[in-house]
Amino acid sequence: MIKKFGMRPLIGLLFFVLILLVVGVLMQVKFSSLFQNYVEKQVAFQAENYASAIGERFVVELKALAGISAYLSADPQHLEKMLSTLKDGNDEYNYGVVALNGNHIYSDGDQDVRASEFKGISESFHGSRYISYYKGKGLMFSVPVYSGKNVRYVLYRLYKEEKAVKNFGVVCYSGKGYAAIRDSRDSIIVRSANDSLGTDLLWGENGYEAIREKLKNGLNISIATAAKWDVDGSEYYYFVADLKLPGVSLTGLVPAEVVASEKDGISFLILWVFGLLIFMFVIAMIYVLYSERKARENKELLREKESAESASRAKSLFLANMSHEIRTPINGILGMDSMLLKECKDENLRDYALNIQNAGHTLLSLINDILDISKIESGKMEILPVKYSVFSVLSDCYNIVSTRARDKHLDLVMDISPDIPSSLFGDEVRIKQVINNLLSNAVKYTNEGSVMLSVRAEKNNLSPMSEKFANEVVLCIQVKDTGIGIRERDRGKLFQNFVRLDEKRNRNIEGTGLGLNLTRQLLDMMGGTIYVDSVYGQGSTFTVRLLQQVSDETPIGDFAKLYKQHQKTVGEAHECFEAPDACVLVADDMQMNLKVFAGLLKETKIQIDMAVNGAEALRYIQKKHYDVIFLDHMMPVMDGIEAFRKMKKLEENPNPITPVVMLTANAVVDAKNLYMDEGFSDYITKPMREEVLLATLKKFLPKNLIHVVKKKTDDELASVDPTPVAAAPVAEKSGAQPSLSDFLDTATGLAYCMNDEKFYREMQEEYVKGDKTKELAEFFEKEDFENYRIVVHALKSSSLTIGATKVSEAAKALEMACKESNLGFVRQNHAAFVEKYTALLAALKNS
Amino acid sequence: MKSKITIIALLAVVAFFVLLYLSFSKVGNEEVKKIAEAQKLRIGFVLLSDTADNGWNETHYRGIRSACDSLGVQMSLITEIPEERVPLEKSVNDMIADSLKIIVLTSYSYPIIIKDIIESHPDVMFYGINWEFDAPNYKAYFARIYQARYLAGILAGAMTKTNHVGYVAAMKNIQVYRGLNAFILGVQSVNPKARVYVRWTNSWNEGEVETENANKLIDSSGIDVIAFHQDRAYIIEVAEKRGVYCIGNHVENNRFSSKMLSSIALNWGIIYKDFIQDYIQKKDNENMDYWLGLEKDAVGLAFYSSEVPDSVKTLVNDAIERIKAGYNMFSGRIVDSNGKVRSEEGETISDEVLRSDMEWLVKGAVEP
Repeated sequence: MIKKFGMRPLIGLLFFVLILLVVGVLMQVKFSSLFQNYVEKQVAFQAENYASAIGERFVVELKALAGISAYLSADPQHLEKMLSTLKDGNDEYNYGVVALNGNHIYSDGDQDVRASEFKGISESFHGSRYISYYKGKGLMFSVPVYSGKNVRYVLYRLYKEEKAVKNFGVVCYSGKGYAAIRDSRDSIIVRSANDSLGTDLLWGENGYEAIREKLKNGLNISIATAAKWDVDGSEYYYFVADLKLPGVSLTGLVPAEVVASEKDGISFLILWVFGLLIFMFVIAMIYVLYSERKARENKELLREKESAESASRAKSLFLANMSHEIRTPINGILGMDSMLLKECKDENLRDYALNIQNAGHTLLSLINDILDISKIESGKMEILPVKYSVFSVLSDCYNIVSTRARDKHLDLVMDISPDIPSSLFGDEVRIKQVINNLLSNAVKYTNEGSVMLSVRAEKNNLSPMSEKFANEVVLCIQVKDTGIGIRERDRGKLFQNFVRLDEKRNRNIEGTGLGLNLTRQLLDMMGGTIYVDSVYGQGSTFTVRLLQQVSDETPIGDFAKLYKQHQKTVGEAHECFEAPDACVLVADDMQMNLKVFAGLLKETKIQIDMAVNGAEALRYIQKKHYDVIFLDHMMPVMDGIEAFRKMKKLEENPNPITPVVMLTANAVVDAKNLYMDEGFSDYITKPMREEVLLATLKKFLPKNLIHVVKKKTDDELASVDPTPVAAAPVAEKSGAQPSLSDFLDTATGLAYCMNDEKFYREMQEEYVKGDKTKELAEFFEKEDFENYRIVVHALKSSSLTIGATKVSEAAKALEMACKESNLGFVRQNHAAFVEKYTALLAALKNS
Repeated sequence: MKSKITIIALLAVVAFFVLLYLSFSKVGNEEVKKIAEAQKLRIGFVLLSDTADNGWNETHYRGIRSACDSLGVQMSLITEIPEERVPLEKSVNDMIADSLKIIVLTSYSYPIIIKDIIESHPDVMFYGINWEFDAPNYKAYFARIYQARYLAGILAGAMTKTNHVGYVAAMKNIQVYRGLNAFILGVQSVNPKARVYVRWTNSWNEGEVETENANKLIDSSGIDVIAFHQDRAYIIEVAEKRGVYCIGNHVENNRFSSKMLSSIALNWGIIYKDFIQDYIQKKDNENMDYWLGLEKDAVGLAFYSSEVPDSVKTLVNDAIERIKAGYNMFSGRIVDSNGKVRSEEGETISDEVLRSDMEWLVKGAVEP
């Protein structure tokens, strides 16, 4: 304990226990004295009662005698006769009549009574009734016998000593106490009925004599008094009580154990209770000390937890900031790159630019994912439901994924149920994100076959009785692919952060492993569920069920038809135009952004003024009229919103009604409302896309300034066909044989050949020379699958090097099967593989 | 912070026990309280004259003092109240208003004068030296001074040469008669030839009248010993001047010449203590008797003058012993001055008569 709590509390504890003990002992002493007082009082009270009773008896005795005396006074002649009739049969007492000279006038016994011995006789000659005692002769009650008013004789009744004790002896405390009647000179006149305690020891110098004065003083204030006294080791309660007769008192004692037998019991009880109190106190103290310690520990734990949490928050914040900071340069890169794509006429350069664009977008989406995850972790992610068009969501998703699917020669099948309500209420951005994630995942992990998105709306039948749910549907989104599938044991890890399954096999596939986790978290926030069903090697099906409120019940109709219509309108919107007389102002703190802006608008020939912050923008605005003003939100010195407010307050303003468009990287839904509320006409999210910028300009520029120009190219738009899209023939690139396109992915091949076409051709020739058909057939027939595996392994690599991805993948599948001794698969697919291989060789030879 | 709270809690616990102990102590003080209560008891005394009158009142005062001191009670004195209704009523009412519950009236006629006031205050206990009045809240007390006068009588009877003894008496009331009769019986017990010349002043405290009467007795009756029953010592001064023997009344120390043979002495303290203690003890008064005498040393002779021979002292001392043994001088054949037999041979005159029925003088008294 000392180790645990230190010395100080222990000393304190001991100190207080000591105090308690002292108080306890004091209480015990006090209680003893209180108890003694109480017993003394009780004994005194009892003595008073005894005295009162015996006094009554004496008075009665004297009164009776006085009655007889009255008769004798009235008729002194018959004195003798009368008294003789009163003679006591029990021989307890004798009557006598004494004259003044001491002679007996009458006596019914042989008693020898003298006035000098019995004071009562002379006292009664004064006219008093009196009780007197003479040792050895007995107790005398005497009264005067009158002759007229003078006293003639004295009549007495004399009790022999032992008879007096019998008649008047006080029995106190059931005979356990001692009580003698004494006269004013302290001489006993009636001995105690129980004389065993009338010893010299008790009544001598160490006993009664010692406390006599104390008792006498007690009588000053009360008729009876008692005091405890120790005689020879035993305790006694002495008591004195005056009778209500002059000079007579009752004096006695009683052993302490008779009257105070409970004392020990009560003392023990007090001791016990105090002991218990101290014990409980000590326990309580220990408990308090212990819990104090515990509390201190808990506090420390809490502090640690808090610091851990704040560290985690700091990490999330850091991630969020980082992502934001990274986005800015990427925006620049992408912007510049899109300009490059636009202006570059050189096919090679265009190809590089395209690659930059792809990598940039991937990077951007990664950053966005990280941003989202960190937002969710820091609790800043919010679900913001708005009214949205189901069609636009689905078509956007299609637009994004279809290109990639086409690149991988995958079928992207849209199976959209025509009875979905056309407009729903939910978080459009997040739903789009979920579908995109699932679709791009499917595309990523599928090497051949198809990806199918099917969307249905199910009537919500969770609680049909409830009004609240009457207007809701469960959106059932299913993404099915024919990809590699997921192993049973890996499904649990599927939705975890940063976990990528089957790492070895998928090492070529880009991604951070955030996608599905983010998807699940977003669905959790929106109250949706995600379920995965997969057969390893054959494909996976992701099913999302999400409750959405219906905003417009009109069915969406046939998706394919709608999509074509939409493409047409979009196409029209993307008509190029020129507006050499228009004048716009753009403010952005990033020089690169300004360049991108100017670059994107180069062909429109619009005059552009550029400012690097709000203050500079304001100076331009004061000087000149603009047709449209673009303000970036976050700028040093003065941000966009502040500049906008100042602009509205300017007195001399040539731009009072000029539409102002906010440029923002803040791609959050409520930001839009924020800007609209401020009074902005519109907003454009960064990175800026050419078509959005052009559409916005078209919307706000005066019509008379716009001159529509014939489109130069429309290849991007023309190729779109959303019906079960058989991957469209790959855009022809230079150096790729059209007849080979069925077998060869020229881009991949070129990439492996450092984009050197000459080298690529040499590689192809080498490939043809290394014809392995014979070996394959030989090993297959011999069922020498070990060597067969080595051959297909070689084919897998060499095919990939020339871009024959399909052959490579087939070879890979065979190699895997061999490794896993799945001979059935090898036998089944051998013929098909050989067919593909020979066809490829034939095509290469022909070229 | 925590440990502070703990310390405070511990202190609170300790304080609780200390308080508990203290409250226990208070309970224990009941006995002391009772004593304090008794000490707070105040007893009212009404006195006829001031407390230094060198006589009756001074003796009283001394007795009151010693009784109150030994019992630890307080006294409340009102002095110089004559036996007249108006001042007495006022002083007694003042005492009652002062919430005194026990009032002692030290002059003989006081209780009679304010009878109605005593009866109308049953919650106040009155004590007086007068048996002629009775009420439930009234109790008489007195000393058997007559026993001391009997002794003075013996002294006078033995010392007179002329056999003429003078006695100046105050009021003609039972107290004075009783004393005077005892004195005469004392004189006669040692000198049957001697005669006692009695003059009445009808006043307790009037120097001129007393002096005049004393002079008359000396001048016309030829007395050579004079005794008296008056409050003050005027007569002693007369006797000193005229050179006759004198026996004083309540003079405890002889400040006079050797002509003053002795003085009646009284110890009121014994009597006061007796009945005040009974009051405190709440003893029923019914059986109580507060008429104390020689047997308790409540009365006696204060001293002997150097002129008193040992033979006379022996005479007196023998009488004291007899009385202490129960002798009643009012016994045997007693005839009054009118020749009426007041007690037959073998009879004694009872206390009752002595208290309330003695308005006669025994034979042998001369009222010139």
